[in-house]
Amino acid sequence: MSTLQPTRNDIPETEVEIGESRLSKLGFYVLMTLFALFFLLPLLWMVSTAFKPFEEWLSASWIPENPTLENFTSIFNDKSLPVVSWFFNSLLIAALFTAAILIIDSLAGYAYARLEFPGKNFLFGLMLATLVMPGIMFLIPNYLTVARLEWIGKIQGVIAPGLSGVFGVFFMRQFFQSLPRELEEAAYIDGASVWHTFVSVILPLSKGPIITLGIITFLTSWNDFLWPLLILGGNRNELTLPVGLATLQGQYTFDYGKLMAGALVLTLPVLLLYAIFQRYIIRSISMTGIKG
Amino acid sequence: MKTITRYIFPVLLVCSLLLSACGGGATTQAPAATEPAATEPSGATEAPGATEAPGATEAPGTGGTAECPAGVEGMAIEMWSPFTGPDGDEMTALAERFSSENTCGITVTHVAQPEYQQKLEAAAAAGGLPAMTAVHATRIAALVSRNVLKPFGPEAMAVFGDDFGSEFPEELWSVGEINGERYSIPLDVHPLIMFYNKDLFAAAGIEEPGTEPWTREEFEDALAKLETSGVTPLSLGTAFQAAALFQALIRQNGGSLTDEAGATATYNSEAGVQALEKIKELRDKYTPDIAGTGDPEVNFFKEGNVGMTFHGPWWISDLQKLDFVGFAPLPTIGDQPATWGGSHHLALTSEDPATQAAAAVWIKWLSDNSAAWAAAGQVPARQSVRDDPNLASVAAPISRVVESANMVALPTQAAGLEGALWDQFGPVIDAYLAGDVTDAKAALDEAAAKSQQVMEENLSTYGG
Amino acid sequence: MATKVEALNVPATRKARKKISIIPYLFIVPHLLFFAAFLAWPFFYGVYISLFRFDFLRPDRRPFVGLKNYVELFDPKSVPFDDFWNGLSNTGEFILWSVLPLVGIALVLAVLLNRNYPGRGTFRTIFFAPYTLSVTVASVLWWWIFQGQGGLVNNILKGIGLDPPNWLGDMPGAWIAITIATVWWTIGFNTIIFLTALQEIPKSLYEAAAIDGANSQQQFMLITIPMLRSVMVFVLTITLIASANLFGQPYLMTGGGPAEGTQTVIYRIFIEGIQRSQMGRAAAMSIFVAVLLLSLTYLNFKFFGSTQEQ
Repeated sequence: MSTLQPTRNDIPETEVEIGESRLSKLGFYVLMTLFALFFLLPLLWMVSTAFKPFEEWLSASWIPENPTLENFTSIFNDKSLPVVSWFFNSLLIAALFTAAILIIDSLAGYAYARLEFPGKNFLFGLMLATLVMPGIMFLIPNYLTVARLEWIGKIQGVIAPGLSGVFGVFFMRQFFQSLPRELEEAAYIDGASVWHTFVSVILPLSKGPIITLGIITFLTSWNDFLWPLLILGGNRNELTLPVGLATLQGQYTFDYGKLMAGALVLTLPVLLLYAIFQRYIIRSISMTGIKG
Repeated sequence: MKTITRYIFPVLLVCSLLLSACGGGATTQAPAATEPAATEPSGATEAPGATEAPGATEAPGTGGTAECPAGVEGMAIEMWSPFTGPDGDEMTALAERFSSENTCGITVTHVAQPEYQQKLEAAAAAGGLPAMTAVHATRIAALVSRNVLKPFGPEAMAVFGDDFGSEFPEELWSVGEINGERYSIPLDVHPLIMFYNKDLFAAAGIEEPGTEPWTREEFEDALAKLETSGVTPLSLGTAFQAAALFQALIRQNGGSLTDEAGATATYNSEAGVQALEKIKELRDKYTPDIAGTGDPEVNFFKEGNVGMTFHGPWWISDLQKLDFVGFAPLPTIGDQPATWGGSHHLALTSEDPATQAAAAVWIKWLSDNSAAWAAAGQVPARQSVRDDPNLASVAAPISRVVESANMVALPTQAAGLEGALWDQFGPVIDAYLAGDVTDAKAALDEAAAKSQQVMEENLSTYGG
Repeated sequence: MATKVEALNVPATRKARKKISIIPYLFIVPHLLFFAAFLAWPFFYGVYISLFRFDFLRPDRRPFVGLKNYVELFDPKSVPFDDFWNGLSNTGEFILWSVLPLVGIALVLAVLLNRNYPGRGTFRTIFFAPYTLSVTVASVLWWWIFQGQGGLVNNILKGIGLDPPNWLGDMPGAWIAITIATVWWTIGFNTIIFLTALQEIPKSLYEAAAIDGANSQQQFMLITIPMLRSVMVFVLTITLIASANLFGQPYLMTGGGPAEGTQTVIYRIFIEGIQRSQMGRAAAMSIFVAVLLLSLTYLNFKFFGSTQEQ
């Protein structure tokens, strides 16, 4: 090995020489394209099936001979158009949930990262312990708690249990720990309080992780099915999108076209969000576990 | 500690993003829209997939209740049900019609619930049950023992009159009677029926079946003729279809799943062994290798080169779009006519007498008008509705298989049957048909012993 | 440090220097409230009910049984024994099926993405996209794709003249289908982690090695792999735990079949607790699984050595 000291670069992309020959470059792109196809084709198949009429559901062709919107009519063709309500319900719930998580978990994350207090390690350990329990065990007790609080059928009931999640706390903690302490020390020397330091010094530096946590949280809430199902339901228009779509599928449906149409309606908003924000998601996830 | 915490964080990330298992957020991404057949091989499968009813006609035997019970004026009834999708739309339409037509001022709101069992139980725990619900026959006993379903009080029973029970097949009516009290009224039955290819029958010289089930000779004759004419005679898969057929054949052979009291598992009797072996024989000789959930055997039938298949009436709305499909009751492959069936019932979840009475008025009306429900792909439980010649114009395929309601074999009512019975013999059937197990008797014996164990435990869980 | 302090009870002597502030507690209290109510409470409640035969709808039928629910898991004659260990062994089987692809393929993808070339960002986007879908959408989609009659895979196989197998109705087809679906759905995450670690490796190392005459193969073996060791351990661990928690995919794709061959332990817990109303038993199983997972994680760290960077 060379005697040069390895230095840690901050350049996000390193360049390794690919074989310069045209052939190996071509081979490389072929390989990448094959992988990309593996990830893309199922999604395209979903789209293809969603636009196939009943007679063609089992056909092997990718392009429907008679493309149709009939699979979507049961979703969009109701007198009261509940699907629009469902969409906005999901949006509202996910937005409120995300905002609450960001506030609560940033605060807690900062405390576990930087502040000293008795019981800190104990609480941490407790949080770890509850993690390995299968989620099913939490369902009924939480339902009963929400019922006692009289939050059944209300947004609070849908959101509250999720706010107990420890993922966000750890996520923010990890990030806060990676910030250089000098910033806070400088602020304290200037006489700033903990709160002031947090708000004026730390938070402005935390835009990236906050956005990432926000997006991940939003996705989780958007995709959530069972809990909103249990809590909501009196009024058909109050459902969230995944729950509402489930009421449109027959109990035993093998209406492939309609299934795929429903999946598409659920998926498109998410993919859109992802496409817009993917840089933030990936960049921040890449902070996990690598940096102390 | 620092080392571990460094790695726990991504664990959390993975956990909370991937699956429910890690507790964070207490939200489980649990099963949603579809329930593949193999989960509940028989009892709890439901009849879905309906097209719009060809006009809701006024059904036969309406005999509308003239007087209104005391205190029902202006009551609003909420009914839950597992009828998501197009079936649900049919029920909702019926509820709206009743609400506008009835002279007692009762309004009914129908709410279809995905995962309705969990919803019912959670609501029961929190005191938020609706007035009534539709329910699968196999769940009734357990729900009764857990105080979710309430007995019909005298005010409600008065709406039906004393002879109401005689208007239903005995098997269906007795499902709702537990410990001498009435807990449900049958709405429909969804039996295993036969779908056949009219064109292939004609080409092979087979006379189409009528509304009576084929005898064994007729069935075997058809198999032979189809084979000679060079097409695939049968489409038989595994999972739900095989399990349903198994239950049908046991009855046809004179046996049953349990004894009359519902306390001993008897499906490993000679009748059961023969049933299982017969299915394997049919599969080996007459059908290509089809297996798995998702009803691939029906997809195969739809391709048009298969003579017959057996399945539930929820496939009617789909298959009736194909010109070549005919409908008939399940043939007698064993000794006597019988078929498997699931059944929807209407039950009360409220104890208030006025609410119960109002619900009873609605239930009676619904039963009278269940021909419209037939259009959604169910066989009405009510005799008069089935007998009415007008049924053919409302739901032609159903009118061809109505005899099934008299042939259907429901297991004796006992709580927790699914876990005790189907969860045990279902896997045995799959394994035997796949060839992993070769001794049918031994395998069924083992499963029956396990069933016995579970049934005994059920007694202590749910009460006698 | 001149932290603003609101001392509550400052102990006079030993800890005179260390003042107890309530500020940190104010920071953690909002989260702690929810945590206590919706995570900690159900957790302890779960431990509590595991000592009973428990049906939440029958307050009159909750006999205390002590450790019976746990003992039953080890008694071959008991009701839950067969199914529980079937669940565990199925989970083990899936771990064997899935961990290698989930880690190995992720590494390969990361290496392929770790270069600068046009289209790299697009590829990265595509590889990670499935991860944003819900478990329901992903599972139903692949259930449809693997349908025996009319599914995409069998359509293709028939088209090229091969015999279409019953993916979801046979073994090992069912595990293959579930594994492929899981890889498609979740591999983006592992890939990104590897990618980041790769990008941390200073390129001067590679340059130096190239000067010394090492080809890209040798560079990979002698530089890349050793530098990735600790990340490898970490990805391995999280993948192990995720695979151990498999539930949604078999529930939606195979219903636990054929013949309960894909019924994982979490699936089993779901059946016992939710479908069979045996909450006490489900709680005991959950705790057992939790302890198992914790041990697995601990062993993983111990065996694969230090997690510190070299």
